[in-house]
Amino acid sequence: MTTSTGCKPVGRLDGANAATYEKEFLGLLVGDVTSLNIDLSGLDYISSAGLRVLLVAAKAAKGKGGKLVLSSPKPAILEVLKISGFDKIIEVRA
Amino acid sequence: MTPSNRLTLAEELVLIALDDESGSLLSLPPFSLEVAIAASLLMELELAGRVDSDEDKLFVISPKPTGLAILDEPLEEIVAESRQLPTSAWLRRLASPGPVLRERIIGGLVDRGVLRSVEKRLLWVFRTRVYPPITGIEEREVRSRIMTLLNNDEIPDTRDALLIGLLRATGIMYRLLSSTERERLRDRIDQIANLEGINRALSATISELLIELTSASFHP
Repeated sequence: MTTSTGCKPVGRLDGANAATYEKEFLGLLVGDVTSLNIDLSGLDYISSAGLRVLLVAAKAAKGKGGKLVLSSPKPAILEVLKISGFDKIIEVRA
Repeated sequence: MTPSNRLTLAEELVLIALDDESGSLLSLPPFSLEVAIAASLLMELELAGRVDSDEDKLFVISPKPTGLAILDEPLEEIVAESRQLPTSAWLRRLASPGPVLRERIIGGLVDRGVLRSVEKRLLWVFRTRVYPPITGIEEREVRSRIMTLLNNDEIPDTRDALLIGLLRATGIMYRLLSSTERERLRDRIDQIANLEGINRALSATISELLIELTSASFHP
């Protein structure tokens, strides 16, 4: 059975807190939980390290047969997701 | 390989840049290997949590040394710089030692028992050094990992995405593939490589350097 859960990072997602967020995202993908919805509406900034955390979470979800969904990114974050092509491999709901 | 004896990105890049048979470096566009090695050092510093970057700049997260001189030297330089420069500026600056950097990486691979150093004579007069692989296992592992990733739709590991960006920017990637594979895998290569901002900066920097070189040769 596929079940989903969500979370909402706020402020910045960068090298200073990437490890903490990675632990949080992977910690949510336990047991029956196979998919993760990350609400990006509270995120103001994302760096390369932050993007890598999203990729790790997407890979983990896919490995469990589920998926990662990124929802409601602010325009600046959406632009970064598009430039890097993340929107081609991870579902982004604007 | 375990993380402790895993090859660094620079080592994997140089290993693939060496011709298996001759042990000589492949002929690549000017500066491309040097700039790609500089990029690989920045990548390792990013993965070690020492620096981070975005579309506009590269910045320090932690000045703590990694314990590897080849990474700590650029880290010291980045820490000492008062301004936050774009990744492309650091690629140019860190590539400036040129072949010295490349020789250090090759020397490390010889020390680790991956390559052997052989002196050869060219035209019976000039001495040159070549570096054939000892077993070739490491290079085969890297190639196999890359080809597997390119031929499926899996989400890549960060290190693999970074390596594919290094191989794309230097042109080595397309020499690993047949013309049919090049055509078939082009979009997948770009998809994976472009996930990493440093890969995009690397390709752009090499293109700019080649344009500058061409322009300089027409307007000396």
